[in-house]
Amino acid sequence: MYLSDKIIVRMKKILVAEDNRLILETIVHSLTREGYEIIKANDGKECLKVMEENEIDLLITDLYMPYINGNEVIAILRDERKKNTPILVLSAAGAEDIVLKAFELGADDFMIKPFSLVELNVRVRKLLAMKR
Amino acid sequence: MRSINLKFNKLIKYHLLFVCLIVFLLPKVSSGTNYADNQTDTSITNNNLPSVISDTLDTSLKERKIILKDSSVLVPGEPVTSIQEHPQEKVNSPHNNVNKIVLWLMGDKNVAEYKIRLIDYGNDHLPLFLRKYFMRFVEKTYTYPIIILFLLLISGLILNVTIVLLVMYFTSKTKNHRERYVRIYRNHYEDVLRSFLFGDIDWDLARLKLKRLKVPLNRKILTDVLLVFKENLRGEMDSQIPQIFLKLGLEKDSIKLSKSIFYFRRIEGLKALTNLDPENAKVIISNYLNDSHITVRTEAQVAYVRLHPENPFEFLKTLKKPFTRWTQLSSFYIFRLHQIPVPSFTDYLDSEIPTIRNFGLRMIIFFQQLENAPAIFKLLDSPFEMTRYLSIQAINDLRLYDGKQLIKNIYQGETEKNKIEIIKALKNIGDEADFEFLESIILSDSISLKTEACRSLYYINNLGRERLNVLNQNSDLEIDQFLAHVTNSRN
Repeated sequence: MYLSDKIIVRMKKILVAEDNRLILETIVHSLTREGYEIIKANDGKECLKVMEENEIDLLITDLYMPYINGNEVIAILRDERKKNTPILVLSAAGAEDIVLKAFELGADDFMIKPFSLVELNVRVRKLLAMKR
Repeated sequence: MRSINLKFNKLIKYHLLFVCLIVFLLPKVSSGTNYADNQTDTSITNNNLPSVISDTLDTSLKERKIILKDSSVLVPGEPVTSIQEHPQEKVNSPHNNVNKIVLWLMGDKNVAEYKIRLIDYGNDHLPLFLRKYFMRFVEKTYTYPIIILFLLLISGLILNVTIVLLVMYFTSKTKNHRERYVRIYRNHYEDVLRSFLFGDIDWDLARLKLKRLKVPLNRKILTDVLLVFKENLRGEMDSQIPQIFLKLGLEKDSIKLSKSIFYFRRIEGLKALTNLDPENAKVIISNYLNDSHITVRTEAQVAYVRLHPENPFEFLKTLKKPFTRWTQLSSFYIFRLHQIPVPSFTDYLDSEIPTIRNFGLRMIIFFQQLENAPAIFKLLDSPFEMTRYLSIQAINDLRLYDGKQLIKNIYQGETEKNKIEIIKALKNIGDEADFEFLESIILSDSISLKTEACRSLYYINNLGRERLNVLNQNSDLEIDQFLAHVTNSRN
């Protein structure tokens, strides 16, 4: 059972959209060690482009990014395409209205910075399992 | 960039050639012609002839005569005979060596006056050994052809522009170089620390890879990287990052920064210590809680809230400066972000500083601390409008029925803003006993007070609505219009 799970996990493709290089690379490092295939995007525009060109299983996005912010990315994805791709929002802005707005637009989960990488891995696993 | 550099080199080269030409050639040429010109020109100007004429009278006496006879260019009534009859006598006039264009531009009286002033200034202000050079300079200034002065001026201008451009070029180059350096080392340090934090390499190897840590800039870059890690990550890494900071001795830099004379460096040091070396920070920030610079003070106060979860606002008791609104908001944000246990804010209501009392009231309202009612009532007598306003708001929001009579008592002496707040409070804590009070307000002149009183009376209970109907029928106050306004859901 564990082995088959691992095989499925290895096949999953996660897109991480984050403008802070340190955070982006840290998340990528952590998730790569868990066996996921990771694609990086430095801003909202790049994120949408990657989503268009690839079959992504999970999107992890920051809210405040250059060109197109996280909320706009979520709204576009939910309105036009990739309706079923789970979205995890990772943001330093933890005010109630901001979190609620992200959920209203179609986010599936929300993590507030500072965040734990262990917790992130658990949530990623859970979201991918829900999609499956 | 290279092409710009070459262009600059060319510009400097040509400019130097140009200056050399002016310095070595032109004065020699001009000194040969000056004397003859001056002899004739000054004699003409002494007779108050227009300078346009004087410029044309260089060649011969014959030409001069022809022109002088032309009455259209002469000033009527002016004597013109002197130049024809006694030309040699005028050579020793005060302006005999003065450049003709200077005379044309300034007028002969001004020229003489300025020259005398300059000489006087030199005599009065300059030391003896400099005076003769100064006099020589003044003489030269008055005798050199003005074209040379202009050329020197232009040369100076070009030199200035060149220097400015060179400074800009080298500043930009240095800045770009520094940015590139910072980016390269930041990325390098991030990678090394990430590998260490994820257990890919041990500390010895990580320490070896963290190069050039003796350079202050590199130590600053590493501190910044550690700060970003600390601000964004929780869990196991959260405890490892301050250890790295201490192992590398970076806290010494931050302590040094926190003692800097520049406020922004002090803030930088305080921020690093608060996040990465809390024990040292606790001692240091206590010195800055009453700092004269508002930004340093804010940083220290916010840091205090974060580092003292057991009693985050204790510093307010010793605060001597105002507790600014921005600091209140920042402290509150940190307080909520780090989920610090909520203390009782009653103690701060006795503070001598109004901003602290107001903050205490705001916190009491926000956290619904009902046990503080007696302290809130006391503040209704405060001389500060905002304090009384917040007290009334607290009575309203916390539904402190015991305070109803107190706010009604102070109504008459209150400002319009506070009166409205009292009427609003009666909407929530009022009853039939307050109808008469509200009716008296409806009969007053102020529209805003009337509107608010109608609203309160309408929402207290059904009896209040009936009273409004009766009042509407028995008076010409057009209360139905106020009611239409207050019952409209948009208002």
